[in-house]
Parts: sequence; structure tokens; C-alpha cells
Amino acid sequence: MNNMKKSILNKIGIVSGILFLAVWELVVVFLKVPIFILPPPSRIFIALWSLKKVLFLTHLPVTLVEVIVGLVISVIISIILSLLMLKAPILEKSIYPFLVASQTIPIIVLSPVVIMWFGYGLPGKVAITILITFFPIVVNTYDGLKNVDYRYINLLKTMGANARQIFWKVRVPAALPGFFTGLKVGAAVSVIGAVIGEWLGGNAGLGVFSRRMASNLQADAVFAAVLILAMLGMGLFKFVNILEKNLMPWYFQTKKNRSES
Amino acid sequence: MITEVKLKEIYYSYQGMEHPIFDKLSLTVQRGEFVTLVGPSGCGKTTLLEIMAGLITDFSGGILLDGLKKLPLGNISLMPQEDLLLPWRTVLENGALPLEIKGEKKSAANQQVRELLREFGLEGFENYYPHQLSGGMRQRVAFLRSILTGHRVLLLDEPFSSLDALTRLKMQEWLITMWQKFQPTIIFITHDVEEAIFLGQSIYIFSMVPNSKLKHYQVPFVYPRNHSLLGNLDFVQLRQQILADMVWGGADE
Repeated sequence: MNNMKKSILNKIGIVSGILFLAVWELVVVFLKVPIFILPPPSRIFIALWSLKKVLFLTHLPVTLVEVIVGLVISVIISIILSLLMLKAPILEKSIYPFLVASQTIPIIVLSPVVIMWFGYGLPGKVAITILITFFPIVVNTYDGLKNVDYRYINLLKTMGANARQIFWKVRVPAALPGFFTGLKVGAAVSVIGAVIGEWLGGNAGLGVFSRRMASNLQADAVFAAVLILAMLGMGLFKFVNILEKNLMPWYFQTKKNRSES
Repeated sequence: MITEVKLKEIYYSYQGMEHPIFDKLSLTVQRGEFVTLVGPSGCGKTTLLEIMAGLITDFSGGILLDGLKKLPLGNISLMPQEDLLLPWRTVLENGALPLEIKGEKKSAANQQVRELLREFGLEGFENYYPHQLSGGMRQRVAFLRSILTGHRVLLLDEPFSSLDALTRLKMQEWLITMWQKFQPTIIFITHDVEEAIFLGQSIYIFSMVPNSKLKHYQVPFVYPRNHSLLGNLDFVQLRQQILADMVWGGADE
């Protein structure tokens, strides 16, 4: 019963997607919108198909590497910062304001400077990706580590546990849901970071490609690149989703139980 | 008889409170004894357990454990009201937690838990997560975990208060069986007078704050007990007596 409901719900997503594309196509055709303003979906797919070699073999790999390297370093930095802040209140008080401040600065304004520091190659793009992705990861991880139910900690103390055991047996597992929430948000926006970097310059990458096509008024090619970027972000999100479901089976079962009762 | 736990003239007041909750409170528990502490909510029962467990240290007075001035933290087992099973650990892994903390290898710890699962009515459930278990089963896992700490004294803080009436009766009888089998010293907190009489060999009554001298009863019934006892005339009389003590404050001898 429940499975049937679920599969119907999944199909509704597909149906509404198709409906959206159909309306788009019809509006563009009937209103005779020029292709360089808004290409119809059919033209985007044709562009995607005819440019598939350049898009998937030349530009996608470059962006993919930037995003993945950026995310991995972002995770490492976030974990280190969370641990430092957990270690001492004085570190929390001195680090946390900088984290928040880093998010109030428009990244797009700061990006040219970052590129000047790190160059037009991979490091520059990775740096911007880190700037965009680390905040949700570090904030959620730190909250998870910090806001552990103290009753669990007390219980382990009565068992004679030392600080290290409490950290590994209670704090880390309790912080995992927060960490993954942060990572999901980070993964979804990571593509933005890489593309901002690419827009500022570079030889290859979907951002570089779409910028070139935009200046040629080839909107269909731009949209084709955007489509791949969107898929990339969603794919990364889904990947983290699968990862967390496998690492925290208890968490998802508990959630399901709650929503059913 | 050997004295297991001795509280000497405990004085404690909550932070920022003018009046103490315990004023020179003394209590002695013998080895292997089943003691129940009964009192209304808000009388400080849980606080006393936390003092005994070593989680609260800013009190004055003394705790003697096993005749020594050993630190209670890490030497007395606490089974809290909410079972506090770690949600990310299965039944087997929750049971193995105290053994892992003592430094045993995971495989050896798991093996020890496995050997006890049947006795605790948990056979076949070792790979279940806590949320998949009923309230009674969760309490059995929590009790198994307490036993596996290897500590002789178990502090139980209203463990059955959230269970339905029938399950609670079953768990009470089950607890007596387990106590007879493993022979720990049990200090059991409850606000339910019937539960206190049914389980305990001796009962201490909390009534008015500050608690200084607790009224004390020996329970005459032999073990194993079953619930037909609840209709016994002596049982009913004792219950009325204790209820009166709780309401009117029987704080003197």
C-alpha cells in the first residue's frame, strides 16, 4: 500500500516535469520567441546531443574535478574547525564570527581576488568552491557535536568512560546526521562555486563553455551546459543521500517510524 | 552482613536555592539487598541517585562504597528513567557498550552479550535498533547493559514508569527473577508505593523537603513474589501506612 503510494508520488514528479517542458515548448513556438532569448527544450536537447563530445569529454571532467576536490577539502577544513571550536569555548568565540562573516561577503565580489591569489587553474576554482561549501558543513557538524544529549554523556561517565570514549561512542555518531545535512547542502551548491571560478577565466569547464556560448548568443548551448550543471549538483546530492542512508540506517528507520505513528 | 553503600549526613541544595533538599541524610544499604526509595515527584529522589552515582559532586557529607571511600563515578551502575539506549547501536551493540568502555575487544564483548540474550528474553533481537523494540524490551536491554557494567550496585530510576500497567507487572516479576539470579545490590526509585513494596526488601520513604531522616520499613514478604500479593491484607495495610507517611510526612522515627 505504502509502496504503491510512493511509486505514484514518484511518477507525479516525472509527469509534472514533462508537462513543464511541454508548456515551455508550446509557449516559445506560439509566441515566436527568438532562440537566442529563450530556446525551446527541443533545441536544448538537440544542442546537447550535437555538442555531447565537447560537453561530456572536455568540459564536464574539468568542472567535476574542481567540485569534488573542493568538497573534499571543504569537509576536511570543516571537521578541523568543528573540533577546534568543540575543544575550547575561547576558540569557538574567536572562530564562529569569522564563519558567519565569510558568508555575508558576496562571494562573487571576492572571487576575482581569490583567483588572483590562487591563479586561473584548478587551485583558484577549488578555493572558491570551498568558500561556498564549507559554511553549511561546519555549522551543522559543530552543532551536532556540541548539542549532544548530556544524559548520554552522564550515562557513559557512570560506566567509567573517558573523554575519548565519550567522543567516539556518543559525540561522533550523534553528530553524523548534522554532518550529512551540511554535506548535502554543500554538495548541492558546490557546482555554483566551481562555475563562478570558471566564469572569471580558464581554458575548460562547463562555466567557461557556457560563458563562451553566451557571448556568441548561442542560448541553446548555454542551456545545455546549465542542464548538465544542474544534473551534476543533483547527482552529488543524491550520492551523499545514498551515503548517509548506508552509514546511518538507524536514523532513517527512526524517522520513518515517527512519521508513521 | 556486609555494608555495600553508606551515605553519611548528606547535605545538598540546588544551585541558587536557599533551602537544602537533603539535610544530613543518612542511608545504609547491605550487599545484595533490594532497596526501594519511594516518594512523590519533586522530592529529590533522582538527585539522590545522581549523588550516589557520582554525577553530582558538590554536596557535603560522605559516601562509602564497599567500606572504602572509593569514588562512585564509574563504580556504580545507573539505569536512568528513559532507557537511554544509544539509537545508533543495535541491541547487541548497546549491551556491549560497558564492556567496550572497559577496554574489551568488540568480538569478545559481543560474545558475552550473546550468551545473556536468551536469559533476558532478547534472543533473536540482537540486530534490532532500539526504536524497533517495545518499551518492556528496551528496559530489558538497559538492564542487561547495567548488569554488564560488572558493578555490584545498580541504581534504577523509575525504570518502569512509562510502561503500560500489564507490562509493568511482568517487568516487576522479571526484575525479581533477575535480581535473584545475578544478586546485585539494587537501589530502586519509584513514586508508586505498590511497586516499592512489591519489589523491595526494605523501603525508605521520602516525604517533605528537606529530607533528613527517612522513614524506613522492612518488607516481610518472601521471594519470589507474584502479584497475588497485591490483595494480601498485610500488603494493603503496609501500603496505607506508607501513603499516610508520604502525605503527612513521617520524617521521624
